Amino acid sequence: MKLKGKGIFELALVAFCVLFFIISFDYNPRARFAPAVFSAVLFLLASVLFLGDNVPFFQKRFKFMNEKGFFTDVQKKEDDLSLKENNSTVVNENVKLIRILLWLAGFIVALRFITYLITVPVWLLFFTKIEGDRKWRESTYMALGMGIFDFVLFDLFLHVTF
Amino acid sequence: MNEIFLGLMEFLAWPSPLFMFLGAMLGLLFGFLPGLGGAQALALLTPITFGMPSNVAIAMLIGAMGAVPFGGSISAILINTPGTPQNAATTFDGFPLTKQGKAGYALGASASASVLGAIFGVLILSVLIPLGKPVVLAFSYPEYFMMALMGISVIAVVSLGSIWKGLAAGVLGLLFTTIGYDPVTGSLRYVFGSDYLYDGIKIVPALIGLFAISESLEMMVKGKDLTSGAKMTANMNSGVWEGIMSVFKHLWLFIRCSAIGTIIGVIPGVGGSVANFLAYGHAVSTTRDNPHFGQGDIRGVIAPQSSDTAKDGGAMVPTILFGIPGSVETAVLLGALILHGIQPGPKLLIDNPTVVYVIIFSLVVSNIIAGVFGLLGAKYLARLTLLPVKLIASMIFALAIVGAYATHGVWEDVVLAFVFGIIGYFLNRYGFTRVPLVIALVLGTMFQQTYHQTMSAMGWQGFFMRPISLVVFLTTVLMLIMPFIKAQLSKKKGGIKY
Repeated sequence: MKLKGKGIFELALVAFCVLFFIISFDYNPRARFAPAVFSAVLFLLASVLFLGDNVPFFQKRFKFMNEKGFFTDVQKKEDDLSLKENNSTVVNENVKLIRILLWLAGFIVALRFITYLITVPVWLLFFTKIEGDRKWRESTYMALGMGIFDFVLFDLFLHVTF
Repeated sequence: MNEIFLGLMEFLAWPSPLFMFLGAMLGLLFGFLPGLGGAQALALLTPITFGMPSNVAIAMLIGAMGAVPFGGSISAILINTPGTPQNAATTFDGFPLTKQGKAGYALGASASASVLGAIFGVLILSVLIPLGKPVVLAFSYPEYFMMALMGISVIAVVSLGSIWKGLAAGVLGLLFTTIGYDPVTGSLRYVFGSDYLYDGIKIVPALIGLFAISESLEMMVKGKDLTSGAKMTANMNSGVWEGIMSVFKHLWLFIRCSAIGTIIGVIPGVGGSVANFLAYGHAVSTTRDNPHFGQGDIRGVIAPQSSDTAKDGGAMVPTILFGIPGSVETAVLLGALILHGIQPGPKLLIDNPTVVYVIIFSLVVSNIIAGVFGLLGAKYLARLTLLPVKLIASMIFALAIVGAYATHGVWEDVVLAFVFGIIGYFLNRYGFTRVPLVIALVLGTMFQQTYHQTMSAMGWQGFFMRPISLVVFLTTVLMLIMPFIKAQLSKKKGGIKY
């Protein structure tokens, strides 16, 4: 059994509800009731999903979990498109996702220590230049435009203190 | 009558009309740009409206919500790319009309159908609100518990995609609502030493994350062009008036499709994409002379667009009466209303009925504004789709993050929005609909509170001995098992399975 992205995500869901279920026993019986019930139900749902998607033995037995909502057939199933992607696309997408997440995390960290008036245009300038592959001039215009827009909206109009 | 007049006064009180106009412009833009939509526009606007008086904030939010369907139809007609999933069926006949040089005709019909559809939906809403008031007043804790249970579970059944995954997303949302103070005992749960989590998961940053950030993340990762190479071949200068009048020429079709949209809107969580296709299918199947459908028949534009905007009025019915969102947009709107101290449901009808009429007026006027300005600016809007997707996504991300901070000026809101953005991205990527999760986030506290209140006041019998509660419970069970029974039956008949 080789786990792919979906399997890992479902396993993470199972682990998440097990953790919540165990911690719920630290609370008094009334406070524990809702989280214990919710995490137990989620454990059941996520476990069936995980087993049904990843273990061949259960794939045949858990067909009910593939049942679609009433209106699914009414429109194109865009969700299914992602399932048809080949392995190389998924790997590329994951590499890209990690890179983008690092960019976004960088933006948030910079925002923590530097004012947004500098962070927003500078981040946009480099992000659109490097990731978006735009010309310096285009990136600069966009970064400055967004910086001015944010200043007018948040500083002059909403009086937000950063 | 007095409430309607007071609602109108509140709606007209300056600067409400100005902000509603700005909201409508943003809604038009978000509707027009493929990949974005009403939920994203509302999630971004919510922190901006935080400091505003509630009537101004509502006008702005509803303004954005009302303008999205027509905005989406412009790109569907001009560039064969639906601005939102709700406009997908509009491309079938809208774009062929554009190719024939009749873009103005199609846009005129779309604008007219959108405005009149919104009016139709709002009229139904206006009729149902006073009728629903006595029903709502008969509700007590068990009924609210059952309504919340139905809202979360039925949404998984009727929304798009896997029911099992929808249910899992809904329960995950409920589990998130157990973080922070227990609403009954006051005990702290799952705060892991963080003061920030004492009040639980804050709904606004969570919504910003689930919609604006996860969507921009997806756009950045996929990185495709907005229009997939579609070319604009529009002649927008002629035929607009004929298009507008075409709705009156096909009035009966318009009424039927608006009714479909309103009914679909009333069902919690179903949304416009379903209304859009059902109305189009209805138009094709009930029209005798239908060989032109798919090749540029104006009825193929009128049908989906009228149902699309009529569903907004319908979606407001469960939102206002029970506090249970009728669509994903109303789920975000519900979060925004709670932020402004307005709790939809029976208390709203008793304590603040004018708010309902502010919503109604805003919905109608925003559609008119979107229709007029959408027609005037369609040519210029079309050029926006030539912008690279990463540029748009990065701007949305920056705005969403700064907006998340602006709501309360708390740094942890930014982190929460980011975390929910990642959760939303993965949910979407692996086929989990986000709608049940959002609705569970909104209803979770009420769900827990009403359970304990019922148990304390009436015992478990309270859930099953009261007629309304029992009926809602049985409906929920029926709705949940129906798809599985249907599948078993079709299996026995040798139908297509999985």
